[in-house]
Amino acid sequence: MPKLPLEGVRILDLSMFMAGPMATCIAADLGAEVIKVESVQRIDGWRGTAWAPGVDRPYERAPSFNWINRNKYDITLNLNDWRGIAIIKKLVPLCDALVENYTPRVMENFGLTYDVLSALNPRLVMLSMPGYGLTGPWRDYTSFAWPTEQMAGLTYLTGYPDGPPMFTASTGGDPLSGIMGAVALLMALHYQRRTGKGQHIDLSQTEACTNFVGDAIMEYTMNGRSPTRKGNKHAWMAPHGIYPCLGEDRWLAIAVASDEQWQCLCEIMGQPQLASDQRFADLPSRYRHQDELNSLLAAWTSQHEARELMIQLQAAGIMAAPVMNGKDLLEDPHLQARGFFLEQDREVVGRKHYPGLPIKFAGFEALNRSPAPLLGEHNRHVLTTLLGMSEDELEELERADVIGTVPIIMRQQPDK
Amino acid sequence: MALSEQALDDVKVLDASQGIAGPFAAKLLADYGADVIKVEPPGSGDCARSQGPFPDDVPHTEKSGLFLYLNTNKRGITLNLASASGRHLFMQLVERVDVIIESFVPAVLDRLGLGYSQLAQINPRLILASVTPFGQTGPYAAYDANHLLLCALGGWAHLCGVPEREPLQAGSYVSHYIAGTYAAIGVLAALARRGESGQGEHVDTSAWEAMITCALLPAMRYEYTGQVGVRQSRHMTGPSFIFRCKDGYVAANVLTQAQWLTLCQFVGHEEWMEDPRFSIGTERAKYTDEIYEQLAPWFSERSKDEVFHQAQLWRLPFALVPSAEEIVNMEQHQARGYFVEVEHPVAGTFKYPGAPFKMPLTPFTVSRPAPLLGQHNREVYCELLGLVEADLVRLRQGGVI
Repeated sequence: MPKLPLEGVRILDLSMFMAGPMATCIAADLGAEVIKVESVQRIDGWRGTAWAPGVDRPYERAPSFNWINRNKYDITLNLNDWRGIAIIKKLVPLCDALVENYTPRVMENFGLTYDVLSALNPRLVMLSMPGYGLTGPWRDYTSFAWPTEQMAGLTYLTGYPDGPPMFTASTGGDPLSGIMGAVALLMALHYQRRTGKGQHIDLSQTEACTNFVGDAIMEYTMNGRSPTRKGNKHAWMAPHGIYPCLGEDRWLAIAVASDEQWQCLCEIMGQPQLASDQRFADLPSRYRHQDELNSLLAAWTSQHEARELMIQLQAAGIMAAPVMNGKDLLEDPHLQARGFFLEQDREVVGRKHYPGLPIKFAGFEALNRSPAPLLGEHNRHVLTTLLGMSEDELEELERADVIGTVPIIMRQQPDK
Repeated sequence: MALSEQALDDVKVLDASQGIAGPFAAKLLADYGADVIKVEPPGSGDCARSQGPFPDDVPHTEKSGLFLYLNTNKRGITLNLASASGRHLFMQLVERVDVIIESFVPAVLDRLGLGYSQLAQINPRLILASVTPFGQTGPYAAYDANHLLLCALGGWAHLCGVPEREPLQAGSYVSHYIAGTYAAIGVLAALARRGESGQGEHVDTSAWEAMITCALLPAMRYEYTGQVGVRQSRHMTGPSFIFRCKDGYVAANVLTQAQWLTLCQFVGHEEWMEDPRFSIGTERAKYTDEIYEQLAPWFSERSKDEVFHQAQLWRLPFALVPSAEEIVNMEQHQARGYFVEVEHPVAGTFKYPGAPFKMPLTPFTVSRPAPLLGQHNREVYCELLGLVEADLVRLRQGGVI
């Protein structure tokens, strides 16, 4: 098998939820050995609830967790116990990078600052990804996916033109910060390979996400105006919108960029007279009359199937695509042809499909070694092979709940 | 050394892409030290040059805010790849670079004789990074998509908006930035692998697939539950809401059970802590409209900053919902020096979004503004490729540069 880009790179991953784990998921896909650290006192929040009445191991059933933790090893360590911290400090010299996405006070409280860790391993790349960065008056403010999309301005820009700001209803700022975290990690590893030097990267999720709204920021810094919500409108294209199609809650997005495309669309609609209609004769006219255009288009699209129209319009060089839900995505022939979804068989949940890496490489395939790990699944493997611990030591750690495979809260439930 | 080292100052890149995704990938590399030469078609240049914002709304090839932001730290040359002379020059550049980033419709480069296999013959260590809406392969490879379509395709739009109205695109051109960030990941991965193997690479990034990885898990929701979900942009589970305060909006976000209980106390609804209807998140989700109605008056009597900072003292992940103006003036951004002022000889001096992450040893810097169209033709063609001034005149007259 061809060598993977990050083969031989070991990453200690203290991050939780999505932003950090997404960065390390990409690293693991690229061949890094990622050791994820949770604890039986505090499982990764992305696993959802640790206990639910009548459900066997609910924390192994969360699609969110099971998706972005593939290919990783999982250990549990109670970081509020000195023995847990001691193990982290023994692992750090064996690792090339450490990733965490707590607010800064958390790592400080654990005594796991960059100063301490880099003294143990000067080559260490430490990637910290707090919501607001490691410095500044808001550094210990708490944040997660929605707050980061809100603070970055995405929410202000999302919504109907006549309505309030709205959630993008994506996973918000988390994946945007996560993929930017992967960029940071890869760059720092590149520099480490060249020079042997480590460093502490300070990735403010709010700042990283603000890079994704550059044009809106420039509008303000250039003209003193803040862009606002424009629904599905474009800056200059018209028609440009999402139109109802046959079926329940089925829609088609259409974007017309040129006069030629507009004339072509009129032909396909069977309404060639619209092409010579003065209201729609050129771009500015169409833009001015786009509400009328939208009604005309909706009347036509609502008699057709979204997918058929996409194929017909795209063949004619007009941008069109259905609004896809999860079922559409899983069944889509293009995504299937590209093998985008990975099938993984995982204990507790069985065979499921998960989004893969959206990057294909001609020279190698991204890793698909193992599904997301069970809680503490690799305690023994990591502590014995990397740290040479004995069975006795493992047993003692387990008795003290420094390590384990069952959340503490499970023991306190009556049916357990 | 006068300047500090940068992470990628050993990497040479040709940015032959246009628009947002490819240029953003190349900008990320350039801002952290890569030597990036942007290749634009003579005449109009990168299509982003014709997109706003423009100062005072006057369109000008050198004044597009979008272009200026996306092309910092790059040198710029013009080159007509449709001409044989242009392709000949391009091949000479290919010999001298590590990476090419491009965003042409798949097969266009092949048709020009500039496909990966042809380029790899000249430079076997070359990394060609393609970033397109649908990727290089598959039945839709030749289709086109913009941000609206990528939101529709990527599993974003079907959840964005409200059930009684049409689905919505997300604000800004976030899909293109997402695709560009992944393309940069692809380049860095290929560089890591090449370091050991010496092997070049063709990196194929699909913006659609990239969007799916950032959506609210639509495929897995269906795979795990058989549900496809409904538009839910008014509030998210938790519950998380956007409320109108006296002077604007604030987002009241709750994620965990502990945060919900804190919220109840924060807004003076301690009785909700014991209310069986609100005992767990999935139950609360049935009453989000009611919770919203009950809370709205409390927020409407307060100012957004007061609510935001107070909530943070209670460790609640509330947030502001800032406009561009409020973002630029945000206290935290100012304290961290996030925005950078960039002086451009034609457009003027403006603040730009700065480092997406801070690397203390190898910092983000803006050492040059976006290039003027063809600004570095002489520098690149004469100093790098050894052409003489008279050649440049001929190439210009021939419409090659």
